[in-house]
Amino acid sequence: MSDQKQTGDRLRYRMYFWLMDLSLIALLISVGEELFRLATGIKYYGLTGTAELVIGLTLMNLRVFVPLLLVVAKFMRDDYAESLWKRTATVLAYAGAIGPVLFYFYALTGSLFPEGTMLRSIWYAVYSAFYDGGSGTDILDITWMIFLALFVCTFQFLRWRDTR
Amino acid sequence: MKNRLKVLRAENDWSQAELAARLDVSRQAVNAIETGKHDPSLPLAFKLARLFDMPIEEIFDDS
Repeated sequence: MSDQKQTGDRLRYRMYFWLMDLSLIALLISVGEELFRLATGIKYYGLTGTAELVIGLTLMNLRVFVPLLLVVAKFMRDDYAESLWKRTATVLAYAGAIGPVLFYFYALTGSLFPEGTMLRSIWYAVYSAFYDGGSGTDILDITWMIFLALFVCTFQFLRWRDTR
Repeated sequence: MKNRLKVLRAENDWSQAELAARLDVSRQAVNAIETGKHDPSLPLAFKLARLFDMPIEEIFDDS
């Protein structure tokens, strides 16, 4: 095998892990930002329209389209990444079966949080994402995005656990 | 699964990155195999056996 091809392969494999790291960072920023908005009630940060658009698009790409690429791009995975991918898929199969049941019980816990409190707002944000989706398209979009987010988080968790 | 990869690599005076380059995998893959966190696929195990010129069972121990 030529040196050039080997270098290309290694770069591809490294890039898979880098993109996975970036996706996780984008996810954490997005979740943190949403929680910050809920906690403080601040809706705008005083950014210009262009800055908000660029930041928003970058985060969305890293949160949605990059994970989509990482799920389907087998050519970017080496032996270890492929094994992590399969372990992640196994976890998600269990999560797909058990998750809806857990969310049913989650819905029942709403009465534990008094109306008007921050905890209630956070509880409702999660609840409404799953139960007040509205049209079928919304539900499909939400399920898709949650699946991709779970894929990145699970993959990174398993990878992190392997380093312990 | 236990393996002798770290010892064999040291005997050849290779870094993890150098071994990864010879196997055409990422350095993380070599690290995960060495620490026993990842059992390599059969094609990669054969690649390792050819690289170190020894049978697979002398590199990996499933007992």
